[in-house]
Amino acid sequence: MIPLGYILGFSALLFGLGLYGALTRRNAIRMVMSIELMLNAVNVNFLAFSRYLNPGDPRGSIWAIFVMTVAAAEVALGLAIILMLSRRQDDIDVDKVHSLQG
Amino acid sequence: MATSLLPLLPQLLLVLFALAVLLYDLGNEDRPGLGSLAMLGPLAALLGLGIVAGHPGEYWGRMLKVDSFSLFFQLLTYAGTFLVILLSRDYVERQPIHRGEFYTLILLAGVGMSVMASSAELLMIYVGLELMSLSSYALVGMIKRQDQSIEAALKYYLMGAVTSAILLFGISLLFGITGTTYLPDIASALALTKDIQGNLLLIAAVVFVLAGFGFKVSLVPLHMWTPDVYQGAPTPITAFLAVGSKAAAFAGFIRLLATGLPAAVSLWQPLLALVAVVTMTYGNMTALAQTNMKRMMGYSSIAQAGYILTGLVVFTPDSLAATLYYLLAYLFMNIGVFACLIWVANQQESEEIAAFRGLGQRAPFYAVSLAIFFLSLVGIPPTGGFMGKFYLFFAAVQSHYVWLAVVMVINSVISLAYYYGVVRQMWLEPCLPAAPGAAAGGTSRWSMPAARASTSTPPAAASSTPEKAQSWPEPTKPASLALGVAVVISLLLVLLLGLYPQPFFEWVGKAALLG
Amino acid sequence: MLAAYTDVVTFLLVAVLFIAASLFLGGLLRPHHPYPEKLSPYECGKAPIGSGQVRFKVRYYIFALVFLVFDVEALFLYAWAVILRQAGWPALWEGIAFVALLFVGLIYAWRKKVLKWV
Repeated sequence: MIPLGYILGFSALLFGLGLYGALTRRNAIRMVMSIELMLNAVNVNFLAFSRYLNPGDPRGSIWAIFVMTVAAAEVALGLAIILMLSRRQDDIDVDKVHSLQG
Repeated sequence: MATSLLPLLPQLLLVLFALAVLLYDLGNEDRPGLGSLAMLGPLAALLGLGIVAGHPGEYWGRMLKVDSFSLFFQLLTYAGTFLVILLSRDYVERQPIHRGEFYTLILLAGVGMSVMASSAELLMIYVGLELMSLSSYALVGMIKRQDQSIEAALKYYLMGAVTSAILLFGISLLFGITGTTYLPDIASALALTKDIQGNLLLIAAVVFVLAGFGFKVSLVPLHMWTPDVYQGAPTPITAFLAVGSKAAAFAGFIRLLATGLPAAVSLWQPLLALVAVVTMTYGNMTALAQTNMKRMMGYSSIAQAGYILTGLVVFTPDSLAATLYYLLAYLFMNIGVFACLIWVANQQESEEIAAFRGLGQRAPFYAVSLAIFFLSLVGIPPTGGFMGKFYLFFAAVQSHYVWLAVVMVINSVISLAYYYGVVRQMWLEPCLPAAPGAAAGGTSRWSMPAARASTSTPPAAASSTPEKAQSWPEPTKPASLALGVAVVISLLLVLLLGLYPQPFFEWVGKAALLG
Repeated sequence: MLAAYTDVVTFLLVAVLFIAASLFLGGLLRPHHPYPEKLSPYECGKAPIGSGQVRFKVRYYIFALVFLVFDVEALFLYAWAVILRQAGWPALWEGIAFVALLFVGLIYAWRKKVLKWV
């Protein structure tokens, strides 16, 4: 089997990539996509730990199912908010949204 | 295995009422009594809570926990939800908000909060947190025709989603280290771990998990959303975020630290102590410069999160009890402030601090109440805020966190300055002089610039046509009863908590044991 | 340990080489006479209208949202169905309650005319 460390490294990389994207992208849709990457990294973690450290324990899989559910709900809501924004202005660049400052 | 639905009764009732509101609202016509139906939800949940209180224990494969801690926070949640709906009743009439969805989402957020408080399993805490967060993202953006509202929702959503992913990553690491996500099991697994300080994976996990909760309660490196969201959200939702969301997140926070990570106390205690100090100081310093009332309350709420956090840093049964007491008082003083704010905003059509000018003459009841709520927020007797802060202070000094207690007092004095700024506007500044309409006993009216302009032009013309003067836009509604009721309830409880704290002390003392 | 991967690597190499080789050979053999009509996108033999990259209607998005709900529902129902026999009647009622909650959502979407194509 692939050593656990490799998988954890992969998920950490995926998570870092997502975090980097979420912090540096200025397009709201891309930010949502980056957040999805982070959540997928979490799922990889859960499944890997569950498989390697405690085979037969369904807990990791249960977590993964819940994370997927919440991720779906989160994306749906996020896209709805972005849609509302795009109806009011042409651009969904988050830097151009700054009526609230002080 | 007990599969009875009974322990879940309050949450179930709340869900049923949320669905009832949603379905009742389905027709396009104006439904009478929608708000009352929504208000019945938390009341029914409170009744259910009374029944559940007799059945402490753990249910459903340890997913659900009924103990005095969860009962305390459920009570807080339902009371908060009820008061927020009370505040909304007037607000939704005046804003382009879809009432049915608004109430449904508030109730569902309430369900999320109470789920968060009543489980010792991280999975349930996470699901509750997300139910609460997703509902509040939508609620913040509920005024679809207002850019500020949508912008606030977008910011809250993006930052919230990132931090919840970080929280999840932390949880997954904890799961890897301990092989479980049930908090007492995590604690016993960590108790066996030798080198807590040197375990990099554990440090990362703890920091990530703290970040997730720290965002919800707006601790300083993760506070950026607070002022923007507080300002842009519909005002009742601002109140909901300030009291409900914060209390529920603290419930999860306390449960996590006290039940799950007591073995790692050497990791998180210094970190949180630093964060608490920075949070209070930053919140208070920045609040000094604000001109918008909601934004000021946003910074004030950051500072308050710092005070509340000291209770967690000190980490004794006494200090946790003090935290709970403060959260209880915080609920009522904040709801009170926002009720007064909504009332003034209805009158003046402005949420700036300047709108409070001359409130002492126009509406002495609201002005005096607001002043009392502010006293409570600063921590001056005879209010609940004073008792809470005194208790926190006492607990900190007792366990040799004197420096933290001193920082807290200094910060309270700073906070006096900006609250006093509003109080000065209310009594010491004259009524708005120039604005027509406002001069006539504060009847500056709701979005009628044309009418205002026509009446204010030449005074001669106005006096020559008296019937025109009568056609000044009258208040769309008299001062709302619901807001008054909310203010009275909050006022009574803030004073009760300040003057007669003994039974409450005993109650939070029991709840803080997390038994 | 790594030997287990030689099959995979061989398979990948063969796949890539096969495709590259067939494309290369096809390029050698086929005639090369580009002209505008030939380069334009094929649209049932008619002259194409507009650009090939069009925006999708936002309507699709709302359908996708409703779909997503049931997509995720299936995720839970699968796990539920696997253990249904062991868990017995209470699990059946819980499953029904779960579907009923989602059904309320569907009714709401339907009454809000989300399902209607405008």
